[in-house]
Amino acid sequence: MSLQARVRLARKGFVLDAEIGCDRGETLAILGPNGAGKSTLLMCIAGLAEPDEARISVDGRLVQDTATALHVPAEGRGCGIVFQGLLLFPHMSVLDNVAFPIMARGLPRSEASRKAARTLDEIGAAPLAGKRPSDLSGGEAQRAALARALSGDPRLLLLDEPLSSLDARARAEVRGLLRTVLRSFEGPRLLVTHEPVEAMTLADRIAVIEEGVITQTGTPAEIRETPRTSYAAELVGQNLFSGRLEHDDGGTGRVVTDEGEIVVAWPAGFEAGNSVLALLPPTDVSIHLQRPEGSPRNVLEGRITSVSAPAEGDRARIRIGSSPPVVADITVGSLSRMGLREGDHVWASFKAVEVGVLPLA
Amino acid sequence: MRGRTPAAFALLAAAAVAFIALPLLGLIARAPWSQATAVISSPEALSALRLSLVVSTTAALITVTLGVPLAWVLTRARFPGRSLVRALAVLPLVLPPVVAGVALLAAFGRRGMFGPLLRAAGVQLPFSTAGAIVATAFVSLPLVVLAVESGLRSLDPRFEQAAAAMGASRWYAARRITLPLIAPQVLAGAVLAWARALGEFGATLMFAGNLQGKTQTLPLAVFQEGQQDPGAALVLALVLVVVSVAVLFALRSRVLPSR
Repeated sequence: MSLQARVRLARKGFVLDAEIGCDRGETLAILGPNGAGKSTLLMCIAGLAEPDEARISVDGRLVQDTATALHVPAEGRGCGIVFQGLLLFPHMSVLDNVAFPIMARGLPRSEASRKAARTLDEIGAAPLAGKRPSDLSGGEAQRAALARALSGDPRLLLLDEPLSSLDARARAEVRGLLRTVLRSFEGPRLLVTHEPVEAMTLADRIAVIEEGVITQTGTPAEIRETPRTSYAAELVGQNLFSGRLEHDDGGTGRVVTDEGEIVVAWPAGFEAGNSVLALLPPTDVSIHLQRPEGSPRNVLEGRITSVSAPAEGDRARIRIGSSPPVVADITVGSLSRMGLREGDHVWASFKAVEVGVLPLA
Repeated sequence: MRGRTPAAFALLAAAAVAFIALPLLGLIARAPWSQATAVISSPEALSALRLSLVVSTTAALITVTLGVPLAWVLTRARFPGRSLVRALAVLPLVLPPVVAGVALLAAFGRRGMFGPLLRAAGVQLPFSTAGAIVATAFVSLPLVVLAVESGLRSLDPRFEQAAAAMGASRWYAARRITLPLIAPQVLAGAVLAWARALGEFGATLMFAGNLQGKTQTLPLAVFQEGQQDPGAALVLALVLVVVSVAVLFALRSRVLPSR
């Protein structure tokens, strides 16, 4: 593991007690509700918050160990951060903002400006160089902040709610950019978010944090299939299909994925051929032992690949190996009434209108 | 939407405006304009004006140099006796200037506590231009401290955190982030200190004396002429008003809030 962090911090009735690890070239999403302590955890790793106990190492080098009073200050940790609210320096141009981390290391202005311009260019933000942060749109400001986080050749990339301040259109655009940037950054990547879709689409692994404690860690698929808490089930339980939007008959559309297609209500403002993300809550999926009659536009057929009884709550989660595969939440009552087991052949149905569609740039 | 103003407040506000404007009006009405050119171009007046500008500008530079770090320490550092130091820092603001002058004499005067030390070092403060600068800087320092303190307190501390996380040393972050962001408040403090120094009278008179060409600044010249030639005093007073208003006007957008 290239980033290892164990942090304990108690403040006014709130206790953060979390341990995470993130490999080089891996994106770990820290997903949790507001106030769960995820930003605090990030700030502790960056050296901007004072934990009561901590042992943090980056690339095998200890940067903090409260047991031995070892503490590398923030400026020595080599973190590239996109802050919540971005915190672009308002009195500097975008270019100077991006050059700041380079100049802070003592490089001369001319060299720093060249490198900053290159970084801006790499993420398609070259035209912003001369602008002031106050003149930027939300998406532009996000690009500038991203360029600033990357320009200083950080060992670790930390993103704190990078899409939260954007409207839907800018969000789709920046999400696409984020995916590219995250993939091309070679060190560990940490993404703090309260949006399950962000975590599911951008992260290799997700650590779910609730009330200061990591309740589950796993790949998005693992957490979707076997959520350990009701919060995780609700949050990460979404069925997610990424694909291309195509026209179907009568005001509906099809989302064509690599593993099959589903029918959706045609989303306003979209065009055929758009890359989209389709979301389907597992509670909206019905399970049948025979092919269902009637109205549902989506009927998928397959074998049950897993059944997980919940740790809490009264709904069980079933994964069906259909095309595409879907996850359904059904009550424990109907689970036992239908006598469902792994390997059983079933039909899953859901209405086209239950499927949400988001743009995916 | 703007709040509504009670009639009583409108009346009292008008009274306040009159209170400030009437003395200035009197100054303009009573000034012997026929003598104005002669008074202003007299060597005494010119040297007093030059000296006033030198003393107040130097004092303003000194107060910024000392006041910014002091405000920084008072807002950022945690140390025992901090509230005591803070009270001390603003004390010259409420201290009668004459008392400040006497205190300066007691410390740095020829027979003051550090008098012999200064003499040994070849420095003479009392009855010198340097002494006038020390006296004016003493009384105007708190204005810089208060202005910069308010700037530092209203600054989002996360900008400095961001700078640190990006590898900036404390000094680099202070130079490139904090100081530029509080520049308006520093400038406001500097202008207030400069204006206070320009008008300083009591401490300067007590500590530096009233030597023409050396320590006789415009306010002291106004005072002296007031006893000998009241008309000349009015003209010199108007000169002070013009200089002050000119500076305030030049920096109005930066010093005075625009709304």
